[in-house]
Amino acid sequence: MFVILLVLWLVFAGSLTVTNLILGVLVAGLITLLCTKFMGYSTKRFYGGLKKAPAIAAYLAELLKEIVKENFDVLRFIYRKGQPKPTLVHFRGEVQSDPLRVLVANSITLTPGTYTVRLEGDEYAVHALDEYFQVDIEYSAFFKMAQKVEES
Amino acid sequence: MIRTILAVPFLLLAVFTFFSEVLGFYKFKYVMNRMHAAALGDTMGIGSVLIAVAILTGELVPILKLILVLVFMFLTGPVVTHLIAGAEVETHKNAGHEYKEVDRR
Repeated sequence: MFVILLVLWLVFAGSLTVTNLILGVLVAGLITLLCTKFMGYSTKRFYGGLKKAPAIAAYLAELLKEIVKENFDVLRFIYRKGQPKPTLVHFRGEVQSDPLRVLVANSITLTPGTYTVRLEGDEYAVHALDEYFQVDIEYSAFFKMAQKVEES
Repeated sequence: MIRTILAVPFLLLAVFTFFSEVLGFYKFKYVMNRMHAAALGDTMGIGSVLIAVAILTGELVPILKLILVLVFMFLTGPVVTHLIAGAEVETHKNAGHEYKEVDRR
């Protein structure tokens, strides 16, 4: 986390000078220290989670692909005659850990055409603009990729 | 010059997306459907504007900042959508008439 905060600081500062670097190291170090002490953050766990990075990167690539694809699907519904048939679908998602469930729920919300209304345990309630968007949503790429992140 | 030529298609795509968003907003009849149209601008609209601006500036630090803008948009957007949808389902008594409910639990 220290490295991420330092890079973030340098990006916001806009130039790599000695002053920026010293201030950045101080601020990033202080925040990391406070998070470790009061918010239960652990450096060991963070670096343990780094081995999931390739699977997460694959997930994000899939997310971008889905967003572009679904954008054009929603555009089709906007320029088509007549109203769509909205659907609220309840289903169980096969993801075990809470952070990944939230990640999948947010991904579903981020892709146009579907958004998560409720998430309790592994039960999702997803609103779809048309029946077309909710077909096989519980077997969509998001859940498969999230399972891969869990296994890695 | 070459940068402008590369960036203009993305700007046109963004304008088209935002136009479609507003059109969809008026076409669809109910809050929960209209939110789908609003998602267009949040994702592809903002995305293509940022790509166009990134091509136009062509420097490293501004591009990194633009990527951060996109990351924060993607992190905060779903939260608001989720809250509005949750409020609508909880408070609208006849919300069930506006959509078909499918239970696959």
